[in-house]
Amino acid sequence: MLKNQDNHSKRSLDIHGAFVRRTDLSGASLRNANMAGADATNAIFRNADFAGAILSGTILRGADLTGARNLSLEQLSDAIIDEHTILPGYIDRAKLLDAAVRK
Amino acid sequence: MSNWVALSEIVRNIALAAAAFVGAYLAWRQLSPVASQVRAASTQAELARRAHVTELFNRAVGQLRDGNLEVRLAAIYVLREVAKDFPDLSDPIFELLQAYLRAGNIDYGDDEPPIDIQEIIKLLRSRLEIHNA
Repeated sequence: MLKNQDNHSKRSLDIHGAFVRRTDLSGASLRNANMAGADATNAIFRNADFAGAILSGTILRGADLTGARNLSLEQLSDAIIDEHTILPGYIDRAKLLDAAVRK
Repeated sequence: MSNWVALSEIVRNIALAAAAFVGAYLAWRQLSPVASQVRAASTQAELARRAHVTELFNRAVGQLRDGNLEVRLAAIYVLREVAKDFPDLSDPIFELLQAYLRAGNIDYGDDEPPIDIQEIIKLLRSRLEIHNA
């Protein structure tokens, strides 16, 4: 496996525009990850850390974000979600919809 | 008379010490080339190993684009092992696998991801795993 190096925390994932439907990145640190434009339909991100992640245009339809950390309304309103997207408990779907409409 | 005995003992001890020093020096002279030979052999072995790994790496990179799933999968496993054995190559392999995902010619519709994509994601996830203190 690609073991965590000492400098691992400085490295972040860059899968912008990638096709990663139904993949499982549960428990991953996606801090500052660039996922812009990626198709993560039905992907699983349980307990992943999204601090600073770029989700502009990321397709998260049906994605499972249960327990995902550090997600903001700002980030999610840039992403494409649907009624099947499972949001973390601290994200209010109504507020998210409102934020998306205001954009 | 006792002075002579004491003096002869001192001379003898000095001679013994000198002989021991000369012996140690000669032994070191003999061992030194052996040690440098061992070092050179070790360096050569390391260089050969690295050349072998570089070849494996290059071949695996080429095989990632192969039309045959088994070949692609084997390439991913080779890269995984290289990353494990050579931590200094871990970063380039991490970048390479992300670049492979970004390349844009992957589309398996709404099906489950093919096993090569699953393995790549597994490798990336292991690298990005959150370690709670």
